[in-house]
Amino acid sequence: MKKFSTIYRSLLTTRDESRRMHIIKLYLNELEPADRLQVIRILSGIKTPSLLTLKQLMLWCMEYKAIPEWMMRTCHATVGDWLETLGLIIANPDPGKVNEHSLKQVFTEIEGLRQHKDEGELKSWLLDAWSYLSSDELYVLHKILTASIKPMIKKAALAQVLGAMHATDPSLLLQRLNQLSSPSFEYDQLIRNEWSPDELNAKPYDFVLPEIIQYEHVHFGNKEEWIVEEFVHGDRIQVFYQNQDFQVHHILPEESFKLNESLKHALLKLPEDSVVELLIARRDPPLVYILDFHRWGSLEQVKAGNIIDRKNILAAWLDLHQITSITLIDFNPIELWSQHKETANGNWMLKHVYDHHRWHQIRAKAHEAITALLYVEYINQNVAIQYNMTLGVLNAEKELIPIAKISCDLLSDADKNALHYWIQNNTVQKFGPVRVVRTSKGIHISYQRIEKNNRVKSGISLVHVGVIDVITQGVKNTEITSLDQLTKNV
Amino acid sequence: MSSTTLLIYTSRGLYCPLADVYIDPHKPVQRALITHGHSDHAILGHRYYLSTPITAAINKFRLGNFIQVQTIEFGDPIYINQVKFSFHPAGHIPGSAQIRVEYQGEVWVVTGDYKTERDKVSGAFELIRCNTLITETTFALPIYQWKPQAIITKEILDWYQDNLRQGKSSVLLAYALGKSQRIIESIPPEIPVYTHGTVHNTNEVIRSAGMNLRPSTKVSSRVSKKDIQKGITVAPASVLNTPWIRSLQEPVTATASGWMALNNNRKKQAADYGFTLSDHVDWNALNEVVFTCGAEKIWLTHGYTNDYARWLESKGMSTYCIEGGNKTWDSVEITEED
Repeated sequence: MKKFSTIYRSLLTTRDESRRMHIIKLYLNELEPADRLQVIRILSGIKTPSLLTLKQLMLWCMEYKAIPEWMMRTCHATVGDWLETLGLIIANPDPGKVNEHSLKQVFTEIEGLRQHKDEGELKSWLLDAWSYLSSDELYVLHKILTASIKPMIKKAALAQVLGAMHATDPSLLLQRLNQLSSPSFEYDQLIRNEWSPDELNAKPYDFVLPEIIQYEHVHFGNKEEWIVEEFVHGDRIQVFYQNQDFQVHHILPEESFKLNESLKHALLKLPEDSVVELLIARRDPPLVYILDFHRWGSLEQVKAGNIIDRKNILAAWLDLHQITSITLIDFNPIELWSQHKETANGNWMLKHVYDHHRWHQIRAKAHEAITALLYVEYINQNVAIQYNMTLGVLNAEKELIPIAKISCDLLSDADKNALHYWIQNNTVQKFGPVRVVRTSKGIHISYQRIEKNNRVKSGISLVHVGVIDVITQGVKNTEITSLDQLTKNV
Repeated sequence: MSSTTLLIYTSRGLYCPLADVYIDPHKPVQRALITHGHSDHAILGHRYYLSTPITAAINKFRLGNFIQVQTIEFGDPIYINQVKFSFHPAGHIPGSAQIRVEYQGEVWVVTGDYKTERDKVSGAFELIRCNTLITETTFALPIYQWKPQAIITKEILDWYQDNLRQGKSSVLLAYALGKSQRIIESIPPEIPVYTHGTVHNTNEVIRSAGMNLRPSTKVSSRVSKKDIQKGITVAPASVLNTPWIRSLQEPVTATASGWMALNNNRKKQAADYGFTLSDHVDWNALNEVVFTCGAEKIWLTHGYTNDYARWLESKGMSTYCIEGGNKTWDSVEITEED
């Protein structure tokens, strides 16, 4: 009990999950296996029914320590937690009686009291405990009695700890930790590294990150069967693979959507017993390619598996690769594109003549330019790496003039951090949130097209600007793209 | 004379009009009696200081060698305008004292900061019978009940052993004067102790005043990081997030303070751990002192003055909150003569 309460306090006073895991691992190693399950139950927040109320506890405490209510309230105002306040007030800091009660013993006694339902017996038991327990121990005891124990560690982290201790599969442990509230559950049962048939049925499918396939492998059949049409924004597609060919499976009309949400939504809409290959794409600014398809089983399998976890993993993977759009397939239809070049809208789709479900969005090939970072503006000054970057190119007088303004969100975290550090060390002037920087940082950008814009000094503005790369070495003026080169594309 | 005029509370601090001296004044005065060397009790600018020898050495170190200090041993009386003053151990930090003021059989005691638990460096607190007690109330709530130092020392040593097993350096953060020495003395001799420069210098001053402190090594470039990792390093809290602490091998920090009794304070602090170790009197000891010293009047200062005054009044005691309370004496402005 003593050790456990110390551990509980350590867990309570740290926010560091890895330290929590370390503390729990050390503690569980010290314990007898019989006591471990009890500890795991408490740490994962499994509550037993309350035996008495906080109010009752307060009244007994006031009587026991002869402290008036106003003093209790003053103390609570300082501490901020009633159970902690009571523990601190009641505890005898230097008790003569040595406490050798194990946590299991305490729970056994509490269980006995619960069955007897005798308030007098409970009070005398509690008063006896108050005479020798420390404030930390009382805090835990009161939490147990009033059923206000909260989980001190995530179950997944606990599964990691136990997995490392017993060389057991953490995903198996995680499944079993969800069944801990059953009183018949034993510790050996928890750590046995063997999947039962039921557990196997409930086991999430292993998520395999898709291998990247090149778009050249994509077979579109006869080019004559495809036409180019204006792309309607907001549509999204799912593609499945069948008979060596890609086909559009669904078109879900929605004005706007977030990619990850759309995937989740799409998954749930899959027809029964269909074997579907799900589209996954990677952003390569500004073009986006379909790269691979992940094989899903039947709907039953999808439902049986931990679909939420799968979707989270998928979402994490998509975030990792900064995928922001999924609707494009690079078919590189230069010939087709050239026929429609005069149309103002830059978005097109490639549509099958006979099967209108088969379509893919296309875009013009991007142009590239090397620009210099002129100044940055912090959007939120409390967050260092949230800023807009103003990029410039050289005009005829070899001056750097602003050409585009883009958010740092387009950069990877590593690039953001490196750039932020560079900005800190290369700031020439500050105007509020704006910092003028040394013009030695090159940003390799891509853009879709150029439009005339008389409101800016350069007379043009770039459309659909993306960052290809941040040039880490100092860039020279001769390497910066000139305005003349850009305006050729107007 | 009236018992209430032996000492009065002025804008400069506690003042004895009969002797024309101040006790722990917080503004410059002619003559100041100093209970101990902490900066909220001993400030620069007084013309004459009177304190115990160790406090005098500390003040000369802190405030400058030029200050004019007269020393007085514990228990020795000194008469100023027929008012008898004597210094008695307060058990707060090395050299800390309570000041007893006597005039025509009326006895007042100013405790300064104090604690009743005995440690190896601060001397044993002496309970003095008096008519009026002026006591601190820094931790005067029943939630503050200190564990004996032996228990805290064991907690510290367990923490140190855990760090040692993980190959991490143990850095204990404590106030450089008083708490640090108390901790250093409590560490078993087989465990090497390393100190930050501030703590080291304070130790040297206390040693020079004649107190025996166990040896410790100052952390410097000459000391290997691996050696430091095998011992306990004592440093002031100001080293957190400084290059000094980052230069150590995987430092794990812990704060030793009475405020660490509360989980919220532990969670808020920047250090990794907290140990509840205070140099101030706790709830139980405070009540014991107040109810056994025989005082009819209790003056309260620092901390929970109002709440403790209400508590004492409910027990039939007469109280005044001289600092931080609602019920205060009007401050009397005393003009210092050049």
